[in-house]
Amino acid sequence: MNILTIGSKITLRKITEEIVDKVERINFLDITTNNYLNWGLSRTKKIKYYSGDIKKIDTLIDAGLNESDIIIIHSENDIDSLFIAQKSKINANSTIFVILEDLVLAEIFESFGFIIFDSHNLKITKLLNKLGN
Amino acid sequence: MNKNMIINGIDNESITMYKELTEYGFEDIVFIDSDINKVRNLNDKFANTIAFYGNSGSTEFLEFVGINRSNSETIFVAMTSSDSVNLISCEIAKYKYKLENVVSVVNSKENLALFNAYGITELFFQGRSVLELIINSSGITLPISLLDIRNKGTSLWSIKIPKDSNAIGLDLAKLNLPFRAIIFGKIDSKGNPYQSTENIDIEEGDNILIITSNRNEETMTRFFQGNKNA
Repeated sequence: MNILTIGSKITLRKITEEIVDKVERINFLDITTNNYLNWGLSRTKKIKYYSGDIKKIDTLIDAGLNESDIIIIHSENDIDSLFIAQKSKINANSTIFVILEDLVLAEIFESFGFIIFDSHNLKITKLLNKLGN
Repeated sequence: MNKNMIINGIDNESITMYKELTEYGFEDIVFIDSDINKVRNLNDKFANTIAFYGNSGSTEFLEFVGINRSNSETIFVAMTSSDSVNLISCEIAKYKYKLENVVSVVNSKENLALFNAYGITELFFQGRSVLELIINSSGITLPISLLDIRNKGTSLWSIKIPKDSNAIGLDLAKLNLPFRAIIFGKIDSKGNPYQSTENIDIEEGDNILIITSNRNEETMTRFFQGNKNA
């Protein structure tokens, strides 16, 4: 499976550390790659880093949106995360996980087909199931 | 039923807009913004508090400013400079609070289709007229929305056929578009109108009149675009 993560919050670091051995490729995208400097994930063929305006479709596509089976988003705030999630929904076969700080909006966006995680109580069972764990 | 209006986003035009809306009979209008200085500056211009500081992604804040007021029909307008804030606040208004009157500014052209796809169809694109003027004068032709079909996300479009268009020479009556549309006809470069049932070739400079969904704008542009611009 090919993974695209958008943002650089600690939640994404924890998730990717847990799934890195289960996937073929992980692309990391944020406004700057400097945010990943202390992550400790090696720069191998499996892992690539991208930067740019994460609200622009060209940036998302350059980072591998079209080839991604799973997209995981936790950006600066919930509004931006949900906006990017909707913008990323260009492939019916991909699954989009959104990590929110406040779950009050979860119901609306789950009805749009997104899978919502709580940043304060991170349980990634649905993601692991998707990866066939 | 009473009507109240929530305007998300304060800018230099807010005072003028407030005054004009009150002249149209709207009495219950509040502005909201996440910039406390904009809120303070606007309130300083009025005797009453008309602006509130808060996060338009917060349902608690939206309820505080009256989005779910009983016995009142709420009109929600998003006009911040951020398309993410505009889209998400409109979606909350439309899908959580079931508001029927939701209007948004769209700042970036690439986001127009996104707003339409998620049912936010009462849109005003900030840069459209200027952008169309510049792009059209550079030889690339963009469709121009002549009329919005209210609440449908559909418009009456006019698209001018450029010099290298792939559509030149095609029979108007047999024009087969790759999306659902009603073709009204064409107006030639001399201003003569032709119905879509007439067997007449499409020529450079013709304007084709089409009704179709706003989400087809880019497909329509590509279809009628010239080879050199493809």
